[in-house]
Amino acid sequence: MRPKMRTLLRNFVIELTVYGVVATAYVVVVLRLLSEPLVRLFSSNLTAYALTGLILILVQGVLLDIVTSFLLDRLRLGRLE
Amino acid sequence: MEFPIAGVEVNPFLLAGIGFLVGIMSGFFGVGGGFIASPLMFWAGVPMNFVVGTDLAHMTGKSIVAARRHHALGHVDIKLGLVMVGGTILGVECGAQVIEVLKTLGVVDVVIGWAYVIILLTVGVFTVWESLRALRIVQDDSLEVQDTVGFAGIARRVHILNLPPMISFPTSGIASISLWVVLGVGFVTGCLAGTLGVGGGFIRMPMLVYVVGVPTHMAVGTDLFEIVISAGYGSLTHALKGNVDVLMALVMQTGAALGAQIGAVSTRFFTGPRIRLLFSGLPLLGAAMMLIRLLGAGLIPF
Repeated sequence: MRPKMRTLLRNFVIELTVYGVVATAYVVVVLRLLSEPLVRLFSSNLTAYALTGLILILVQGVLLDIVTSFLLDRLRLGRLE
Repeated sequence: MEFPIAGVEVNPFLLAGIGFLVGIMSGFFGVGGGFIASPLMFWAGVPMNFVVGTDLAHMTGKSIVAARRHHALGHVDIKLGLVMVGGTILGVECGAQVIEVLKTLGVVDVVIGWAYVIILLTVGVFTVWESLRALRIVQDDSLEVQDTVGFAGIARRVHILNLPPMISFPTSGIASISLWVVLGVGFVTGCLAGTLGVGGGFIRMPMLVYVVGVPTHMAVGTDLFEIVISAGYGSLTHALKGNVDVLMALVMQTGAALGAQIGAVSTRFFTGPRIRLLFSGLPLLGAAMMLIRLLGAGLIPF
């Protein structure tokens, strides 16, 4: 295996582990905090639920993008060419 | 873990894993991956109405990550994406009407199933043939491999079609093309997507390359940008009908975000024809999955 590829794979495993821990902690916290209000909104006001859901997805998308970009840069995963 | 909105118990790691897998495909090929994620979610125990809505919702978030990454790499033609989205949304609505007509005729499963198989097989076989041809051209003539297309005839003819208003897309290297062609591509792919119940990236990406003449890397990024808008619209309408479990979508998105980043970065290690050659496996896989489903439902006499 070429040294570049070995470094790439090693960095990939490290990133997967770090991100896995961060994402698991995040999911546990987020699910606990959001579960009840979302269920209430779902049964009482679907329009508000739909809009809140879309906003949450968009915000989480951007936040996760920042986290994963940070990890990719720190581990130089995107710079091996 | 219980997801009270969908009313099911599903392992969140399994959902994140599905998101991760589909995220890699999304980042690498510029597709939403609905045709792979949907059967996997259904298999994990999610009810079908929530499969469709939740998949669209998670697709929106995941595509944002992948599109942002492609944008940073200079692989998104925002102007092209915005122009095309008008045709796409109109097409999706048209596709939904086709479904309603087929429902009243009572032939929706068999017609959609066969249409799915035929379209996916055509796209898959054509892409294999074209990308192998492009790789051969590169080998024989020592051409620049990055943007070589083995079947550039359609795009060339489309570019000389003088049907006003004409529009240019400098980011994609298109000096002049009829606005109707771009809207038409959006409409056709939207119509197919609306009829087949998927995002449509696996049809839009090759059409951008072969019909509009967009370089492969740009087609991948622009297609993702398009998916952000069309899937966002789709998830909003499904959420209003109570078909989206936001918690489930958020969990899937955590896996998909990383997958999308890795997929997008990986495109830097592959040339255009190689990406298309690898891409061709997706529609062929989708066709195989649909054939199995048709066989299982007894819609094909065996």
